[in-house]
Formats: sequence, structure tokens, C-alpha cells
Amino acid sequence: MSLNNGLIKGLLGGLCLLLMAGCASTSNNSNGDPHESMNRKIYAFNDKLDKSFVEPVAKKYVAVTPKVVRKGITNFFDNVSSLNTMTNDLLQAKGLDFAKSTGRFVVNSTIGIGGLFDPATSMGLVQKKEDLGQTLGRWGADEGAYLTIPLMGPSSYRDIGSPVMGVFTNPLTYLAAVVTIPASLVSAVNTRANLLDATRMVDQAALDPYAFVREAWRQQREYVIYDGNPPGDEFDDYIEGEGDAAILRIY
Amino acid sequence: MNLICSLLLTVALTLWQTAFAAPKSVSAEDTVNNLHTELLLAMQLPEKTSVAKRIETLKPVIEASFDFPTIARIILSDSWGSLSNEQRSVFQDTLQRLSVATYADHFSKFSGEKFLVTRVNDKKKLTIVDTRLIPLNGSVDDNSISMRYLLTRKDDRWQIINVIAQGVSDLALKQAEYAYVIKKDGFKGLVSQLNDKIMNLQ
Repeated sequence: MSLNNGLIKGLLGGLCLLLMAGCASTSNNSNGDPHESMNRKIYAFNDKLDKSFVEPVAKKYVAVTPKVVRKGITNFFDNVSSLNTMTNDLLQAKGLDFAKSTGRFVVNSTIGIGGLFDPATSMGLVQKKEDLGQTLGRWGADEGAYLTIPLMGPSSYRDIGSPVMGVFTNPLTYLAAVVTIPASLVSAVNTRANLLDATRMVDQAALDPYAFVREAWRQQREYVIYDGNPPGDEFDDYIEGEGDAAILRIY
Repeated sequence: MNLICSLLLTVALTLWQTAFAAPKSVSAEDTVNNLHTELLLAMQLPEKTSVAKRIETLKPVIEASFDFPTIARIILSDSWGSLSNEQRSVFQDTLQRLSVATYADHFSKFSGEKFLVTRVNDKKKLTIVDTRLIPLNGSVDDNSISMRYLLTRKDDRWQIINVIAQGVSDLALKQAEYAYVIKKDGFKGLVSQLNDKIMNLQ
């Protein structure tokens, strides 16, 4: 393992410990966000950094990189993250999904020329990402408190380990720093570029972007934990005035 | 003679039924399909069509498809009891204009997309209609977007009270956001910020 990889893992581990320590001193909060005050400050920091540096770089990247190239780069990084999905498929005891993810990885790594192309999708092996937070959710772990992570964004007690596991299961982590660092930068810029439409929508629609992102992220996590079939539609009939809280639980 | 009388009576009864019969009821699926049809038509308007024209096109179907009084009440449920009737009416009207402007903005380009109803889960007063927005060359399993509609029944027609896109509930988002804005800037602040959003969309 290179010094760079050790450093990355050390930083991620340290970040986890720091956040877990912060999580130990929670206050009661009805919206499941006992660290809201701290989270909002981190959100403001992330947003300022994004607007002044990351977003302009991502826009420039979109302007100078042909769509087909960006698609290839997205495919490549999706493919190298397949090991994370495959591991979590196993941890969730999803045998069929594991077989599909493995088949997808093999097809795209070979016929897809190292993952630059995605012939697997047209063979019916559609991408379905899994991570550690989804695995914990699958086995009944509650979200716990909501967190905003510096430089990364939304997370929670349950999901804090997901990026750590993502690093450990990514083959690029184990290559020399001369490959890992530029690859990580390209991956970050490409990921940000893929989110430009989503952040434009937040800027356009949200009155309180922090609450908007928090609620959207939480609901989206529930949705993927239940593989797009959350138990929210097991509803009783609507009783006007009395059923409003129940309405909000249907998603 | 009896035959003629019977015939005349039958014709009279038919005419009466046609003239005074209750309007055909609109099912939850009809409401959603009708909205989708109009959205697709709006998406296919020439690209240079003005936002004002798009708003004018979509306004009737959105106002008919959504139950704005119920939506407004649920979104502001924490402070609804303390609002005057006038404030409730102002909020409902603002929300309605925001919804029309948002749809006009979001559904302004067409690339061969189609909508498909995948399931209807109906109860007496509440129905869920699951649909997928499928891009050109996509399928339900690949690349499509899940759009779940919640509808309530008002008399003989069903109206939408929530749209859940890929698991994200519009009602829940707005409730969380607006509660914070009201707490920070009051009701006037909320309405003012919503009007700013509408202006930006236009």
C-alpha cells in the first residue's frame, strides 16, 4: 500500500472518529437532525467552496469534454466501483443481484474495454448500485442522526461508513499515487459535472437549500434501501384532516 | 298506438337522461393520464415558445389535476391553524402559480420520452398511481424515472395531492423547507420568497 493510500484511509478513519465523537453529544430534535446547527455551517462551507471553485471547474469540464468522452469516463468509474456493489450484494444476501453485478463487471471490463463502454446494460444487466449504508439499512439499521460531511455532503450515522468502504473496495486505491490522485480528481470533477442539472434544480426550486437537500437525500436513501419499493404504500384509506401525517409517510 | 306511445316515452327518457345525467366520473388513472398527455404536448411545443405561453398552456390542466386546498393545508400543517382565511387563500394561490410555473419550466423539451402507468392501488378516498417516465430507447427497468402520484377523491373526480419522484416526496420537501422559512422569516417572508421563485421561473 502506498503512502498516499495510507494517508487517504487514515484521513477517512479520522473523519469517522471525529464525527462519531460529535454524534455522542446529541440533542433532542424532532426532525431527526440534532446536529442541524453544525450541519448548516458545514453545508454553507461546502456550498461556498462548490460555487466558487468546484462548480466552475465542472462547467468548464463539460464545455471542453465531448459528451461521449464524459460518458466513457462515467462508465469507467462506475465499473471500478462495481466491487463495492458486489460486496454489498453479498452482505445483503442478494444472490441474484450479486450474479448480475458480477456479470456486468466482467462484460464491461472485457467487451466494454476496461469499462469505458457499457454493453452490459443492453444485455439486460442494468446498473444497480449498493453501498454499506444500504446494507445496514437492509438489515434494519435506522438512519440515526443526519450529518453533513465536509467536502462530501449529506450522510447519516448509518451511512458514514459508505465512502470508507467505497475507498477500500476500489481497485484504484491500491495503485501508485501517480495514478490514484489524478484518477480521484477526474472522478470528482466528473461526478460533480453529472450533478450540474440536479444542483441547478435545487438552486431554482429551493427556498431553504439545506432542508431541501436533507429531505431529498433521506427519502432517496429509503427508496434505494428498499430497491425502489419502500413500504410506504401500505396505507389505510384517507380521512380528511386526520390523514395528513399518514399522507406524508407514503413515498 | 301503444307502440308509438312506448317509443315516444323511450325517446323522451333517453333525451332526459342525456340532458340531466351526472357528468362522467374521472378516475385517478384518468387524471394522471390526462396530465401526462398535456405535459407531453407542452414538451413538444417549439423550443422558442415563451414561458408565458407554456404557462398559459399548462395552467388549466394543472389547476384541474391538483387538489391545491389540501396540498396547501398539508404543507403548512404546523402553522395552518394560526393562519387567517385570507393568508390561507394567498398561500394557496401562490402555491398554485408556483406549481404551474415549475411544470412549465421543467417540461419544456421533448426527446422522445413517454409516460407509462405501471400500477394503480386504489382505496375509497385515496389512490396511488405508479408511473414511469421513460426516455427514448429506455425501458421500465433501464433509465426510467419513477413518478408516483397520490390522489384523493372529491365528489366524482380524483385530484393529485402529492408527486413522489424516485422516492422523493414533493409534499415532504416543501413541508420541511417552508416550516423553516416561516420560523425564520414569518408567513410574509415565505410568500415573498415564493413570489421571487415564480418571477425567476418566468
